[in-house]
Amino acid sequence: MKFKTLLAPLLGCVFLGSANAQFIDLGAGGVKVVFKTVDIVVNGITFPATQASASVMETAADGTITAKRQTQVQVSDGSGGVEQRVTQETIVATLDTVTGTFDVQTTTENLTTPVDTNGAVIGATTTVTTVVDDEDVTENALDLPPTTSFIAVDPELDIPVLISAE
Amino acid sequence: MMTKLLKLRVALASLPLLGSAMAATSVTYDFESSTSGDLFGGGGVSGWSQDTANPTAFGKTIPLAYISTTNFGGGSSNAAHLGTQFANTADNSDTTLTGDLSSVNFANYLTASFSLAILDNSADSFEGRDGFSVALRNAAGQQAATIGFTPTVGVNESWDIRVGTNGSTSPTSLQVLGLSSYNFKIVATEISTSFSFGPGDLSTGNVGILNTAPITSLNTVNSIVFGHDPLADAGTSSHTLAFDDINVQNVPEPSSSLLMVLCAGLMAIRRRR
Repeated sequence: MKFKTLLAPLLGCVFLGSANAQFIDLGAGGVKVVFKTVDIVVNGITFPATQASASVMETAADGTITAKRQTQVQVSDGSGGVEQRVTQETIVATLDTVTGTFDVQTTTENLTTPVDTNGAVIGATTTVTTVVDDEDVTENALDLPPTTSFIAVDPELDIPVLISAE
Repeated sequence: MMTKLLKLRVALASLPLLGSAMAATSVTYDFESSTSGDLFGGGGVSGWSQDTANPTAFGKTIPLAYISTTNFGGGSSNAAHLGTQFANTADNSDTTLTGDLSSVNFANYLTASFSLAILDNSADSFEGRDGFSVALRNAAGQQAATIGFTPTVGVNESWDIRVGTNGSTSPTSLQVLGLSSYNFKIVATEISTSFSFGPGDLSTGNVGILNTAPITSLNTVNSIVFGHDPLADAGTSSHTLAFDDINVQNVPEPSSSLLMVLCAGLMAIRRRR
C-alpha cells in the first residue's frame, strides 16, 4: 500500500543571509553545478531566468539512500523587485529488508530572499518547509534526482603512442 | 688605420644581426607562478584573460577555467584547465582564454609548442561532449592558425583533429584520446605552416599533421587563444581542456645578416689588399 502524508508546511523561519550555503558542499570539488535557462512564471507572466542546480546521493551500508538537490534562481518578484529562490530538497529512502521496498521522506525547503539586481541580499529570507512521506516505494519508483557529482580524473595522464598518418 | 676601418665596417655590417638577435624573443607560460585553484577570470592568471564571466550560485563562484596540477609526463605541475568540469554557461556560450604574445615580434618565423590533454571521465553521468580549440590570433582578432578538436562520432574517448590557417580548418584523419598527454607544435614561415603532435613526455618525435598555407600577416600575431565550444546540451558535459608549457618564439632568420657580415668582411679584405 502506498500513501502520502503531507505534513503541515512550516512557515516563518526567517533569517538573513545564506546560512544554508553548505547544504551541498561545493568546496569539496566533486560536485558540478549545472546552469540552465528556464522559464519562471510570476503572476502569470513568464520570465526567462538562469537556474543553478546541484545534487548528490549517498547509499549507506544498510541500504538507506540519501539524496540532496539544491536549486537557485533569481527572478522578478512580480512587484518591481527581484528575489532569489533557493530550493533545498532532501530525500531519505529507508530500505525495508523484508519487503525490499523503501519508505521515503522528502523534505523540501523553499527559501525566498529579496535581492538587488546584482544579487546582493537586501531583505530577510522566508523559508517554507514541506515534508512528504511515501511508503512501500519500489526501487524503480524512487524517482531520485540525477546526481551532478563526478569522480575527478587522474591527473597522471597516459602517454599515447602515435603513428604517422603519412 | 686600415685595421680600424675594417673593424668599423664589420661592426656596422653586424648591426642587423645584432638587431635580429635583440628582437628574437619568446613567451613561455608554465603557470608555475600561479597556485592550484587560481581562476583565470578577473585577471587571476598573469598574462591571460577570460572572455566569459564565471557563473555564481549558492554563494560561490564556480569556475569555467582554473589552475590545477596535472602530469603531462614530465612530472606533476600546475596546468591550465578550461571547460565544464565544475560549471557551464547557461546559454551554452563559448569560453576562451587569451594568452598575451604581444611582446614577441614575429617577423617571418613563428614556432609555438604546448602540452595538451582533454580530461573526460567517460564513466561519469555527464555523457555530453564538447569541442575545444587552440588558435594563434592576430591583431585584428582573426585566427591565424587553428587546431580544433571535435568529438569523434561513435567513440566516446576520442576527439578528431582539425587544423588550418587564416580562419579556416580542414579535417584530418588523426585523433587525440581523452586522458592522454600530447605535445603540439606549429611552425609558421613565410612559405608554409606546419602542424605536428607527439606524446606529451616528448619521448618520441612529433608526427606531422598537415603542412599548409602560410599565415597571412604573420607579423601581426599577438595572442594564443584556447577555446571551449559547448556542443552538448547545457549542463550535460563535464570535462576540460588542460594545457601547459606554452612556448611561442620568433626565431629570426640569421642567414641574411650573416651574409651581409661576410660580404662586408670580404670587401674590406679586398680593399685592404
